Amino acid sequence: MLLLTLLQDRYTPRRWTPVLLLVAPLLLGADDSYLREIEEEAKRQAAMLIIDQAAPSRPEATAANNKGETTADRLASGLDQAAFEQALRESLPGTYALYQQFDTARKQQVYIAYQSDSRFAHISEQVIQLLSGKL
Amino acid sequence: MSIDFAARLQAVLARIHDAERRFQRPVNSVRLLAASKTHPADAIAALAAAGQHCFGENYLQEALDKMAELQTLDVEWHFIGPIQANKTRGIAEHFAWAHSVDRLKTAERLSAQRPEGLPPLNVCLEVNIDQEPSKHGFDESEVAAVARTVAALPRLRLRGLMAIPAPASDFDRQCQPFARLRELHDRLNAEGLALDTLSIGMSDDLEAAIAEGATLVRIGTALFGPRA
Repeated sequence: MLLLTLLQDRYTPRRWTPVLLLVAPLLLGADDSYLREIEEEAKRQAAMLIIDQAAPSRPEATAANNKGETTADRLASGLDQAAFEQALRESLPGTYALYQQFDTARKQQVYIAYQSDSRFAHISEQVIQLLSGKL
Repeated sequence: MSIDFAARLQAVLARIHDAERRFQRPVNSVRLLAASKTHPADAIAALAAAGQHCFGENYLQEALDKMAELQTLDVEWHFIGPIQANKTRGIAEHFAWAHSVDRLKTAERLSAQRPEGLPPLNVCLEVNIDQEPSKHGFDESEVAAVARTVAALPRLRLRGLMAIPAPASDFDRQCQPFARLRELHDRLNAEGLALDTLSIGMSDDLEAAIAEGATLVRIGTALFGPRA
């Protein structure tokens, strides 16, 4: 148990498993309960390692740290018009509010523009151009 | 003309709302300040009729002329230009906000000259965030001490920080100075100030400013078109 404690203090969980494999044969002569204890500890450490690796990185609260998300600055491609409108509503609520004012023909123009380029900036620009009568 | 201004206003508000959504900012947490310098009073009236409330002016005399012409409008006037010592009285007497306080002496004069009958003048400290020799503003290192002093002036209400970074076309580079300003703003609040304003972002860097916490953006060209 003392050896186990020393090893825990000295080694991170990631390094613990190979050390255990090296040490275990030396302990073959020890009594069964002591070996079982080491084996159980090794299983716990292995489980912790798996959990650590599987855990997603925690998202930060500030807008600044969410910039990575925004570099995916486009709607999913290949949406039908209803799905496009739903995605527009969720991703670009300001642009969607303008889009809603359009008649069917202008909505279709925006949808066609989206099919050729799904970037947020392109879609917003199309809507604004239509709004200001430039298209 | 008013139809065109209404469309431009809607387009700019759409950009702001889109950016609020994209960068997980609360809805309507960013106010639009229409930068109206050199634009005529009738353009301001048209935008006001379309729903715009806050207007920013850079030159005192030009602003006073427009105020006289538009005195029946319910709009809020912000001073956003460099503040010369001999202009502080006019600003203190006629504006609701001064965004460009870049000297302690200026703040003291604005406080002393703010009429008793008006609410305290809302002010922001201008920070020379990129340390450009040609720009006005406090150095980051001196802002904390200045902010504590300005917050104690009786006729001012210190609302926050303002900066105009060096131009950058890349989004991430646009974000960097804004992020430093936001961190400075947060540190000041952690030290006990109650700031609620980051006056950053213009037509070309609006999204980056909102990503980094802008609460008030100054937009001119996108609302009024290019200046003559």
